[in-house]
Order: sequence, then C-alpha cells, then structure tokens
Amino acid sequence: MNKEIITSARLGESYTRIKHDSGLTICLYPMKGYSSAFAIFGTRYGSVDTTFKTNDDADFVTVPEGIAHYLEHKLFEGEECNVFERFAETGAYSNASTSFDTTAYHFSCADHFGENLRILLDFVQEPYFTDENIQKEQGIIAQEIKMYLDDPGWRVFFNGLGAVYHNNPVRIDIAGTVESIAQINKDLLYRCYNTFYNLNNMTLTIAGNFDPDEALKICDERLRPSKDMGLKTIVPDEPPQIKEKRVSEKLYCAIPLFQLGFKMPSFSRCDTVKNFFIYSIMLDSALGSFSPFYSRLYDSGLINDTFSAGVFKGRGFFLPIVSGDSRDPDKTAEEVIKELNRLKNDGIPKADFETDKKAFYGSVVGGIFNNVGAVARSLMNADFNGINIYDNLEIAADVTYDDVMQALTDLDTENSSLSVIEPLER
Amino acid sequence: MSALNNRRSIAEDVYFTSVTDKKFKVNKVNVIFISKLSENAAVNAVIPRIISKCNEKFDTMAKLNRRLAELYETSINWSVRADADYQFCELSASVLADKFALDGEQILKEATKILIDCIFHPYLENGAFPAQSLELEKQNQIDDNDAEINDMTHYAYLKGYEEAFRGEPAEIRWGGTNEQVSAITSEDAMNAYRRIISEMRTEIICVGESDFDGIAEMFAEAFSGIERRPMGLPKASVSTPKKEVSRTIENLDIEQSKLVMFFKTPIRDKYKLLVMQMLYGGTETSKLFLNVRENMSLCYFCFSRLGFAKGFVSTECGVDRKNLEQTEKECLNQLSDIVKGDFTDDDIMHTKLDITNNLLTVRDTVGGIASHTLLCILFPENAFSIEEAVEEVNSVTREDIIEAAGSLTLDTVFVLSSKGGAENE
Repeated sequence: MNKEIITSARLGESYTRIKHDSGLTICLYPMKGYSSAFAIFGTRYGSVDTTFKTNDDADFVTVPEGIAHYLEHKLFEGEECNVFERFAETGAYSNASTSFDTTAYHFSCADHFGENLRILLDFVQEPYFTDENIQKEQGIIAQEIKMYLDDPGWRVFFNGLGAVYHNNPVRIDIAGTVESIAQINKDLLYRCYNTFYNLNNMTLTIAGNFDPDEALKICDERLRPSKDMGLKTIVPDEPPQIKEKRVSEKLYCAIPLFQLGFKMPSFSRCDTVKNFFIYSIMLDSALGSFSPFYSRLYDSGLINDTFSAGVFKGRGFFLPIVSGDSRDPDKTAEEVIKELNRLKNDGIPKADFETDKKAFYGSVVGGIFNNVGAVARSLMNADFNGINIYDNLEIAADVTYDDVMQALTDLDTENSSLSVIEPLER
Repeated sequence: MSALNNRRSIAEDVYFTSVTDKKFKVNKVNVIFISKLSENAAVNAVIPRIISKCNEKFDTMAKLNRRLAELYETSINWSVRADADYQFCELSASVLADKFALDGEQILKEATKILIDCIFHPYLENGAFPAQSLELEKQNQIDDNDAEINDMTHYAYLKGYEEAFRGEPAEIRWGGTNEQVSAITSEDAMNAYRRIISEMRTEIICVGESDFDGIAEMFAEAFSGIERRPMGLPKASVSTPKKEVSRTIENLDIEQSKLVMFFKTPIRDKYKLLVMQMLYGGTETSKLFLNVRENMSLCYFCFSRLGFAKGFVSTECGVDRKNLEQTEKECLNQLSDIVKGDFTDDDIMHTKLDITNNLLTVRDTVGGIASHTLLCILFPENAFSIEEAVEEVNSVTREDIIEAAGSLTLDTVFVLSSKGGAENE
C-alpha cells in the first residue's frame, strides 16, 4: 500500500491519497466541524466508452449506447434486496450518476459511516443481473429518456453536440436511445461490468466527518483485489471540421434557447485541466459579466441572465461553449463571433485578465472547499484527471496573459456550430 | 441551540439574525422582504431585478460586476419566490471569507456595503428607475413567467398548484401575470420600491465563517434613514378541500405525460405529516418509489412533497399517456394502504432515519442553515433546533402516521397529457 499526504499551504489543509493493494486509489479528506460524510466510489467509465479491449480480447469490441447508464441503474439491485433498502437501515442518502466519461456511486450520512461504507463497497462489487430485472428496468429508463426529450435545455445541448461531432460518441444521449437500450442484455452488462469495474480503473473518495483509520480498515476488509487487465478505450476518428453549421428543433419554451460550440481537438489527460482554466478565463474575460460585450448585449435585450460561456470537457472532447436564451440566437451568435475576432486583434485588456484570475481563485476556494459533497466529487475528478485537488488552485494561479491570448488565437471561430430550440406554438 | 436566540430587531419589523460557523470558507448575507401575495406580486418581482444590477456608486452593470469580480467573485443575487400565501423578494451577497483574501481585503464589509447601496441607494434618473432598465426587466420577468413551460415537470406542478389554491393568495404566481407586468409604469415601480423597503417585514439572515461584527449596525444605519410603516405579515391560511375534486387535463405535443395530485389536510403537526409523507413518497424506499416505479415500472420519477403552511401533500410522476389511469389508481392505493396500517415498523424506522439524516446535514451548508432559520422564523409553532426537530420526528407513532394519512382529502388532479404517438397508444 502506497500512502501519500497531500497538503495545501494556501488553505492550510491536507488529505491522504492511497494506492491500495487491491488496485483501487483511495482519497481520504476529513473536514473538521462538519456533521456529515460524503463518499463516492467511481469508475472511469461513461457513455463515450462504447469501443474497448482488455488484454483478454483479441480486438476492440463495440457495444450499444447507454450501457454505462444502464449498469448504474442495475447495480442498485442486489440478489436479496435493492441497495436503497440496505441504506434505509442506516438513514443514509445514496444515489449515482453517469456522465460522458465516469460513473459514480455515492452516499451522504450523518451517522453509521462504517456501515454505509461497507454497503457502498459491497454493492458496487457485487453485480446481480437477471433477464427479468434487466427487462423491468427498460420501462424505467425509457421514461427517463422521454422526460429529457421534452426538456429544451437538454435538447439544445445534445443537438449542439450532434452538430459539432461526426463520430465521437459524446454526441449521443448518456442514457442511449429507446432503441439502443432495447439491445442491452445480461451478457453485455456483465461484459462491460467486468471490463470497467476493475479496481485499477476506479477511485474511492471520502470527505467530511469520518475516521480515516476506520475507512481504511473497512477497505482492507471489503475490497477484492483486481488484476490490471490493460484496459484500452478508443474514440472513433473525428474529422477536425464541424458536422453541421446550424441545427434547430421546436419544443415548448418561452423564448429560443441557443448553444454555440467551437470545435477543437481534445487535449491529453495531463493538459486538459490546464487548458480548461486557460479557456475558461479567456471566455470569461472576453464575454463574462463585466465585459463591455455582455453589458451591450444585455442592455439591448439580446441576452439575459441565462447567458454563459464555459468549457465542456472530458476524455476525448474539449469544447468551448456559449449558451443561453435569446430572442435572436443567430444575431447573438454573430455578435459573439465578432467580439472574439475583435479581441484576437485588439487583445483582451490585461486588467480584465487579472480581475478574472482573482475571481477564479475565489470561485474555486468558495465553490469546492466549502462543502463535503463538492470536495469528494472534486477529489474524484482530480484523480481521474491525474492531478491532486489542490492543483486546481495552483494551475489557475499559473495561467498567464500570453496563455489566454494564445488560446483566443487558436480558437477557430468559423469552425463552430449553432444549436437552437425554437418555441413550439401552443 | 436555535439560531432564533440570536435574532434581534434593528428597525421596526426588521430583524437581524446571524449564525457563525468557522468551518465555512464563505459568508452569505441574505436580505429577505416578505409580504402577503397580492396583485402587487408582479411589480414587487421586477424591483429586485433592477436594483441588483447597479447602484448610485456603480452606475452600470459592468462597473458593479467588475468590482464584484475583484472581490473574489462576490455575487449579488436576487431571487423572488412564492411559498404558501407569501411572496419573498430577496437580495443577497455571497462572498469568500476574508481570511482567504490574497491582499488582505475586507471582502464581507465591502460586499455588504455594495449590497446596502443596491437596496437603499439604487441608480435613479430624475428620481425614477431608468426607463430602459425598467422596460428590459419587465420583459425579462415576462420571459421568466413564460419559461415555466421549459420544465414540464415543474409546469405541471404549478398548474396543479394554481387549481388547488384557486381563490386563495397562494394562487398568485411569484411574478404575477404578464398583463400585470406589462402595465407597470415608472411611478408604479418607484412606489413598489418604497413599499418594499419601508413596509415589508424584513429578515436579514447572515451565515458563514464570520462573526458578522458590525454588519447589523450597517443595516441599522441604512434603515434609520427610512420611515418604516410596517404592513404586518398575516399568518398563512390553511387551505380547505374543495367539495368536489377538481380535474383538469391539458394536452400538449410532448413525449411524456405528467400526473399531479394535491391532497389537503387540517392536521397542524408538522412532524406527523412529514413522517407520513416521507413514508408515502419521500424516499427511495417509500411506497410510491418501490411500488409505482420499481415494481410496476410505470415511471422514472414518482414522489410526494409536503406543503405544511398550506396544509397539503402532493404527488408527481411522469408516465406514458396510456398508463395515466393506472398510475393514479396505484398512487391512491398506496395512500390507502397507509391508512389501513399496511406498513411495517421497519418502514417507520427507515423513514425516521432518513429524515434525521436530512436534518443533521442541514448544518453542513450555508444555504441549509439560512433556509432552516427562515422557516423557524415564519412558523414559530414548529420552530425547533435541529436536535429538537429530530426528537419530534422520533416521537411520531404508527397511529400518528395512520391519522395523518387518513386526514388527506384528494382536492385536485392535474394531467399534462401527451397528444399521442404510437409509443403512447
């Protein structure tokens, strides 16, 4: 077992990162004064991981979309009872989520921490799939998919991804489609489970009110050593150019919703976080709430409080996005592109860049380190990105004005897709 | 200890409460103006939008936002909401704790000063809000009213709520009607602004790492320049059930239908109702979750909620149109089972453990503490410290749960129906 204490001089805090003999990475972050503990057991497996191989496979295999999310639902079903019933014995709140590149199971509790950790470690390591319980879940997941089909915020996002990407599976809804989930069976679920739920591909993070020694003892008892299977995933080749310039759909909404995505290549694992901060600071300096651009468009009624600019990133994708509600999405997109092109020539004011860095520091300290759930999630994300949680502060602090201007120069404003949801008449 | 021990009057019908907890790395100052929902809801809702954008000193949104960003991403936020018979108009400042300032700035005091300036020294032109700002925020309010339909689940709930409380103040939406918003004049807006700061019950609730020394005094000084004429805050009225169940169906071209039901109760013991409601549909082991979702696979979500102030329990679910009738029947069956006592002692224990866990984690977020404090202020008959609330929950008996479930009368059924499509037939 390899133990490392990671410390932040800025915050005066530290946590322990352990490479457990079972293969699992464990991050333990006790937080003084908190009543609750938050634990997450996650795997680097999300909706984009549809093509993969291990040392046991001769070649890559491709599976139907939606299996990562389907697995998330089914792991809550044990042989004797469902997992919620086991957590009900302790009062803990538990849930799970599937993203594009991770699946994570968590609980939050103010008491019975040890018992809850045992339940979490057990159920994630004990799949129980039958033809019957798989069939039953199809109706529930189909309703989840349909719920999102009526959601304009969800649709403008996925339609936008579909316009940017030709082949990258990030363009498909995390839950798959009603058609793709109909192809999912017991064998496929076990195949994907055995591939991705290998402890070498997973991380356990715990933050808040708990005893680290007790947590580690329980891990020693419950974790079942995994052999590293040499897991490899691939993202299908993706042309550098966008797929479609503009896509639209009609749904019930007050005024049109838009999303403008700027296609660019993804970064390597170690460069993703740094570039996330660089591009985020660049977009905020250029289009954020104190920029002349924002005031001009807000005062003209073209945008409202929903306007935002940020970076959507993950394994195999990195996409600067500008989105919001607008009476005239095309005009808004045109203004955004015009402003970014202007700043490429004129430069972002240096004072704005410095102000934004300060704002970023405040939002990271106040946003991450103030809440047990946020700390546990950020620990997991940091570990999956190959950094420690405090690196977020240091990397943001190290971003230079030249970095930001280079990012703006590299942004190809023409290689962008506009997704619009237009109001459906009632 | 209850936060209310720390509540004090700083002006007529203006109260200041602070909760210090050194574990936090942020501070939040909430200024909440509370009034009975009325025909003024629309104009009241527009004012926080306008005054949160700039003030006399920072006379444009860009200048204000720049200063806030310099203060480590301090945010001045507005929110307006309706709950029971009340409208809450809130302005707040969320700030990083001073000890994390890189250059020794006093972030909390500076942000509070800006917040106070927004509230008491708004940017005016010739004694009125700039016409352009007023018209812009009126339009934004209309768009927000219309945007209820962007979220079908919430939209269905609001439509059901409106039917359930027809003829009562609670029927009024947080932002009024679009017609009322459109009709707001410059004079209306200034009158509403003066009414908000001089007549409405005001609760200032500060939570965070700071001791908040001097913050109450800053607000007291600001209010000393205002001639207060409190309008008073009547108690929320408990709603009585209709003689006949109201049934409404709205057809829309959507993929998934929504079913919303409202039940009313005369019981005024919050914890009896809470334990019953959570056992019925408030947890992942509740009757609704285990039966309607897990056993029958009818829906992805099916849950209940308690509106204690108005005396209601609601259920909400999203289903295929062809299953609407079956789902309604099953939701009623599950309630009927509780009335018959068809639940185990383990069910009761699990529900109480769930509620206890929720209560104990309230103390771990600034927002949770602020919300709990406001609830205790508004409903003093149920105002308990977290520990006392846990005791109250644990004292609820099987008979109390049966009594609470038996007291529910179905009042309103609202269905948002998908128009069809092969998969729905």
